[in-house]
Amino acid sequence: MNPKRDLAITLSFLIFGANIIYYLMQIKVNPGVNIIYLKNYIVPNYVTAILFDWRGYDTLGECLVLIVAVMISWIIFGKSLYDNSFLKELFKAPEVGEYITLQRWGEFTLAIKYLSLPLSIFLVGLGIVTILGGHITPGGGFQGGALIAASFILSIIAFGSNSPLWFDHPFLEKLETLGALAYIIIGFLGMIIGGYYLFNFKTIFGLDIFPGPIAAGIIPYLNIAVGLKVLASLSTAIYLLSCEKVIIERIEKSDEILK
Amino acid sequence: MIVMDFQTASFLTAGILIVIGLYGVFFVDNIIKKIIALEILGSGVNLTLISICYNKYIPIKLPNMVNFAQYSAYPLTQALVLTNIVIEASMLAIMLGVSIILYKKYKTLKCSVILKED
Amino acid sequence: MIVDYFYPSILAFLIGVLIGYRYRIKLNHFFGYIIISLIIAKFLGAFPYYPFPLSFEFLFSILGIFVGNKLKRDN
Repeated sequence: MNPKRDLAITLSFLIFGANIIYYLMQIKVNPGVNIIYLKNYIVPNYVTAILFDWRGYDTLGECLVLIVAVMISWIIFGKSLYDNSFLKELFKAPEVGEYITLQRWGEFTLAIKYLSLPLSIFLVGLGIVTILGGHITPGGGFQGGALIAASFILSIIAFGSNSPLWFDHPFLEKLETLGALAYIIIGFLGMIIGGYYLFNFKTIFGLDIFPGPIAAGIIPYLNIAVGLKVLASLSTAIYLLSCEKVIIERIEKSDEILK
Repeated sequence: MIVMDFQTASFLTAGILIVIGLYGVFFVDNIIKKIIALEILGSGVNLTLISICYNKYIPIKLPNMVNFAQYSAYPLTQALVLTNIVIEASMLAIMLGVSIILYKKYKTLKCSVILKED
Repeated sequence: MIVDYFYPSILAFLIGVLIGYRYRIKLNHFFGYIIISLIIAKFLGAFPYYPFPLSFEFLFSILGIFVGNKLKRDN
């Protein structure tokens, strides 16, 4: 390589790294705006209060970031899912190393074979509890959705393309659209009742919005919407990243038919 | 023996993680290893944000807790870390997809071969 | 009212039906799963501010998964 460029890279790396460590060691923390957040009581979990009440717009933008990421993944992989004729000569390249192929797909140990299905069922239950307790306990929509997507990943890794828990593409599409749409519609309800977008109202026509010991208002419903959306997005990303196996399987089947 | 409090030790760990990630991004040739180094750098940034808000209690008000606002951790940076984690996950998906396409086109993952140096 | 305390459990049951409908195989060993989930719910504990000895949300979500799997006819 170019020795001058190596020298420049090394020098800048050393200066930047030393500066980062030196200045991180002497940070003085200022509470700042946190005092306002801590003095006003909305729900017991203050992080959820910030995410869905004080800064609801930020969470809406975060949902849209996830939607854009999933759309880019579909643009990258979608053509190879539906029209895979151009991939035939590419996959004739020789396989290297210990890459897990479809021929050795089911050869796992007994523990994975018998434990992954009950573990995936209990993970789904734990994810639902985490979503619903977002306003009282540590947790919320993002973490619970990630847990349910983790059960889907576990099922796919253990059983391959015939996994017992299977989210097909139209279901994921509907779920993701439903999550984002529910968030926006709840925001518009707040605009009708309170006058502001994403206004947190606790009663409607004299009835509690979320009955229970804590008057949480619309925060649990926003948690559920975000949870369904994160579940759909992460499952779609995993589905697209693991569909290379499905493409190889289809190509081999078409080869057998042609012979 | 050097004795430092918990917050300073957390900042030191975060700085070391950031430097390791920067080393990986600058000097490693493989694309997958570059992506792993970027994840390490991101966790260093997350650890910095978390250890800014370190305090005695977690920011959840249990029943029968008095003087909560004095002892609680600051909740704003934790909300920022939640945002950061989701964006990191989506970035990771896109980076892995683009690296799969690079491998299909060039049959290798080395940056020096892809950029046609040497 | 005591019915208000069961509102998160009803929501957990509905989400469980939504996801349990997506299992492609027929789930067996119903009572074994219920017993294990009772043990897990006992150690998980109820939410704060809720006067229950065990987490009914977890139990109802597992029940919802099995009901959703039963609703699907073609497996």
